[in-house]
Amino acid sequence: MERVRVGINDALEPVMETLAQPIRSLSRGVQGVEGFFDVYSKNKGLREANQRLEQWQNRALTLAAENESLRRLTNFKPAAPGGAVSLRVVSDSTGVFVQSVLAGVGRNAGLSKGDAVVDVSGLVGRVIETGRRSARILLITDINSKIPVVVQRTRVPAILAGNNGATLTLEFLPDGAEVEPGDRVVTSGHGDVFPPDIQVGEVVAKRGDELLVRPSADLGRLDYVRVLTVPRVDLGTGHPAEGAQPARGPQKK
Amino acid sequence: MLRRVLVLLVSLVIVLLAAAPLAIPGYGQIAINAGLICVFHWAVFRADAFPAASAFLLGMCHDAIVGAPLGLNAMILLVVYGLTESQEAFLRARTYIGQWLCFAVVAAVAASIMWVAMMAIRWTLIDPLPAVFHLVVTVGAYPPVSWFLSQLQARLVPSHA
Repeated sequence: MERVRVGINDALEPVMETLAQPIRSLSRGVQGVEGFFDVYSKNKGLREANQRLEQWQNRALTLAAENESLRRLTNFKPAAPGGAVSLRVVSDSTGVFVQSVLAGVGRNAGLSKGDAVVDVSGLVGRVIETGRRSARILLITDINSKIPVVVQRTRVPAILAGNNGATLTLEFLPDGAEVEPGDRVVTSGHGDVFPPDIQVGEVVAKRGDELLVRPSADLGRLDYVRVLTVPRVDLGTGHPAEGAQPARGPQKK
Repeated sequence: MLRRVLVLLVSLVIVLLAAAPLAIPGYGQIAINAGLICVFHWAVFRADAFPAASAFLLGMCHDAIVGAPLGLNAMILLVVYGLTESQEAFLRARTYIGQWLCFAVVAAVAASIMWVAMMAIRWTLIDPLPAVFHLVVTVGAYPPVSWFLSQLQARLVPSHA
């Protein structure tokens, strides 16, 4: 059944790509007009953000140097570097019951099932189907999405679950775990599901026992995304995982 | 045969347009079920140019595009086609508002089947409110889409008496 679906997607991908072009142009035009009216406030916000980022850059450089010296001291061996493929979303299938998008690139560009997908802000989802020319990306907000994460501040592990809504919920937190609104959540890398330390979202509210997380990625305006083609290893044998494509350098389509 | 292919292709293009990325946050929650409107319209006005096989194919393509379980929308569109085509004479005799109301009923049936089926497939409870909202938006979009289909019908497959 998956082959049938993938075959249909591969056949329709050129048509969807063509139909999406005028709609994207119209959408950009509307956003351009909208942007014109708030250019002053945006400019002010960007200046303030720039100042904060310069402070963070200094801090990041200090931490990077400290990290490098600690790696040398402990003889740390990093995981094999992966590649990345940039691609464009051709179909927005985020609906009532399914939260996924279709991309106009598939195995022909080195994508494989399970590859993590990110945008400039954070994790978008993962590849669940690949055809020759198309790939389906399950968004992190889908009810089937379960991501092993850690809370960045306290390194507390948890599972981030989608519920077909705009926010995600943190589940399976250890008893007594300290998690507060404002804490950032990143991928843990456990189970080789996603590479570690990819920004996923921020805790925004506590509703009873539930912790709600707002995704960092702008899932409502996906256009260009990057697929991280990190080589995965079968945890049982230590050899490359079955079906995993070899790592390739950064590519763009 | 050519008319049937043409009508199917036109309906497919409308479904693809409805699935195009609009970069509007939350758009997916309000995107209309264009396939449902197409099947209803053709089943009422030109069932000879849009047989059940076309409804099935349209549903399969819709499933593939949106990532729904393959065959689910196909089955629902077949049910809608069967319901509508069996009442073709009754629906043709209604006013436009009457046809719109009937579409609302049919769309509600389709949405219910989809909701129950997805809960069974995912084996979890799913909040019905987004599905209700989606139904309301689809019913609201019926007039412009059916008008567009009527224009296409007049040019591509003119009605016979």
